[in-house]
Amino acid sequence: MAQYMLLLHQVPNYNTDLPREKMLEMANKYMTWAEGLRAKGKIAGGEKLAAGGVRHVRVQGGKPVASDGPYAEAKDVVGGYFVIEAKDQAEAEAIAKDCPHVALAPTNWIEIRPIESMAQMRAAAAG
Amino acid sequence: MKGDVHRLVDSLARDSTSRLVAALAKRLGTGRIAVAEDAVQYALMQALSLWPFKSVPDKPEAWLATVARNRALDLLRSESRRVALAEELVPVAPTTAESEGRFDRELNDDELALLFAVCHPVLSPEMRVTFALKTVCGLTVPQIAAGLLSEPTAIAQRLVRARKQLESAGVAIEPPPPDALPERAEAVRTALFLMFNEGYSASSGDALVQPEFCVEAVRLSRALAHHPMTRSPASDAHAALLALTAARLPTRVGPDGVAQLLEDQPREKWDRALIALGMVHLDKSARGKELTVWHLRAEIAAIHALAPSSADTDWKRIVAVYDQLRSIDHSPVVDLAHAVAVGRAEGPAAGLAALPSPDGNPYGHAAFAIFLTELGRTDEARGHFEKARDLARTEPERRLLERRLRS
Repeated sequence: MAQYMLLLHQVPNYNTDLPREKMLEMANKYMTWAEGLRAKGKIAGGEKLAAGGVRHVRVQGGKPVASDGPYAEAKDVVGGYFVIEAKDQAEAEAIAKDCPHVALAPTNWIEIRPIESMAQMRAAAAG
Repeated sequence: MKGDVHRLVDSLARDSTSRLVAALAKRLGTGRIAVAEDAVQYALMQALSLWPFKSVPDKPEAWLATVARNRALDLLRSESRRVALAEELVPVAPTTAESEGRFDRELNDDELALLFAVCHPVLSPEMRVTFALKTVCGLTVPQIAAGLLSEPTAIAQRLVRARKQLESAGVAIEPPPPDALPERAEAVRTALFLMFNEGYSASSGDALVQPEFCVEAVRLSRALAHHPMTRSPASDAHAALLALTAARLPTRVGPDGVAQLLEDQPREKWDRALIALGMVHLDKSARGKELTVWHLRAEIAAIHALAPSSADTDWKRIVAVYDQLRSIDHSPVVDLAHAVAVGRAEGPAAGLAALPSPDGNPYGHAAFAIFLTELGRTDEARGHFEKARDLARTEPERRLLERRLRS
C-alpha cells in the first residue's frame, strides 16, 4: 500500500448559487464517494481549504516576508485535498477519476501526487 | 451505505433546515426571517462541502444548528442585541422521530408558528404561498419563480414586501391566540390549497404540473390535521381533498406530454397509497357537525378516486355535492365544474344548458366544445376548441386541444 495525495484544483468561488435539488445531488455524489472509500479504509486524511486568507511567505532582502503573493487573483486554487491509500498508481488514478470533483465543473481537475514514505525510500535504497 | 448517505442528506436538507429556520426565526423575530434562512442555508452548504473531507459528525443536526447560530450572530454583528442573542440561540435539540414517507413529516411547534406567521391573513393569498414555499418548504427563489411562472427578481421583491408587511403589522412568530385560531387556520388552509393548485394545474408554461408544490402542500396539510393545535374536521377534510387529488398526479399528463382528461386517465396508475391516506382523513373529517367547503370538495375527490371509470362514476351524487358547494362558495370555477358534472349525469344537452358563459376561460370553451361534439354540432364545437387552444395556459393542454381539433 502506498499513499497518494489528491489535490483538488478549481476556479475560486464557482457554483455558489445552485438550486437546492442540484446542490443535494452533488452533495449526495460527493458524500457517497467519500464515505464509500472511508468504509474501505482508503482515506487516510483530507481537509477542505478555506478560500480566503491565503498568504505567501518568501525571503526578500534576506528576511522572510509574508505577502498576498503575485497570485492574489488566482484563476486556479487548491480547494481541498485527500490523502488516500492505494496499492499502485493505477488504483490511485481510478479513485481520482471516480471523484465527483472532476464532474462538478469543466474547470475542476485533480492532481495526484505520490507521497514519499520512509519505508519506500528504504526499499528503494536496499533494492 | 449509499442509501444511508442519501437519506441523511435528504433529511438534513428538508427536515432539519425547516426546523432550524423555524427555531431561529422564532428567536430572531419576524423582521429577521431572512437572516434565519440565510444562516441555515449557509450551514447546510458548509456541511455538504465539508463533510466529504471530514466524515459526517455524530450529531449532524446539532452541528448544523451550531454553525447556523454562529452565522446568524455574524450576520447580526452590528446589532446591539447580539450578546443577548448569543445566550438565547441555543442549538436545537436533535431530531426525535425520523419519518420515511415524503407526506409524513409532522410539524413541531416552532414550524407551525412559522407557518401561521407566513400565512397570516394580512398577506394576500399569493404572498402567503410564495412566503411559505420559501420559508417553510425551503425552496429557492429561482425554483419558486419557475413554479409560479414569474421572474426571480419579482419573487424576491414579493418576499421582501411580505416580510415588511408582517413586521409593520406586528405579527410575531408564535401560535395565534385561541379566539383567532379558526380564522388563522383557515388562512393557512386557503394558502395551501392555492399552493396545491399551482402545482396541480400550473397557470402557464411548459409543464402542466409542479409535483414539488403538491407534495409540500399535501405534507403541510396533513401536518395541520395531526398537530394538536390545528387538528379539526376542517383540517382533515382539507388533507383528504389534497391527498385524494394528488393521487391523480401521475396521469395528469400522458407519456407523450399531452394533458389527459379525467375520463381518459389510466386509473390503475393513480397512487393507491395516497388514496388510502385521503380516505383516512375523510373518515376523520366526519367527526364533527361542521360542514366546510373542504368537506364538499373532498367528497367529490373521493367519488372520483374510488370510481372504476368515468362511466361508472356516481355523477348524480357529484352534481348534488356541487349544488351544496355552490350555496357556500359560489364562483365561476365551481359553476363550470357543476355544469360538467350535470352533462355527465344527464347528458350533453343538460350540460350545455348548465354551462356558464365561457368568458375567456379556456376550460369553459373546452367544455362547450366537448358537449357540442357529443351533440353532433361539430362546426360550433370547432370554434370553441380553437378558442380554448388559443387561450390554453400550458403546453400540454394546448397539445391536447390541438389533437382534438385534428380528429
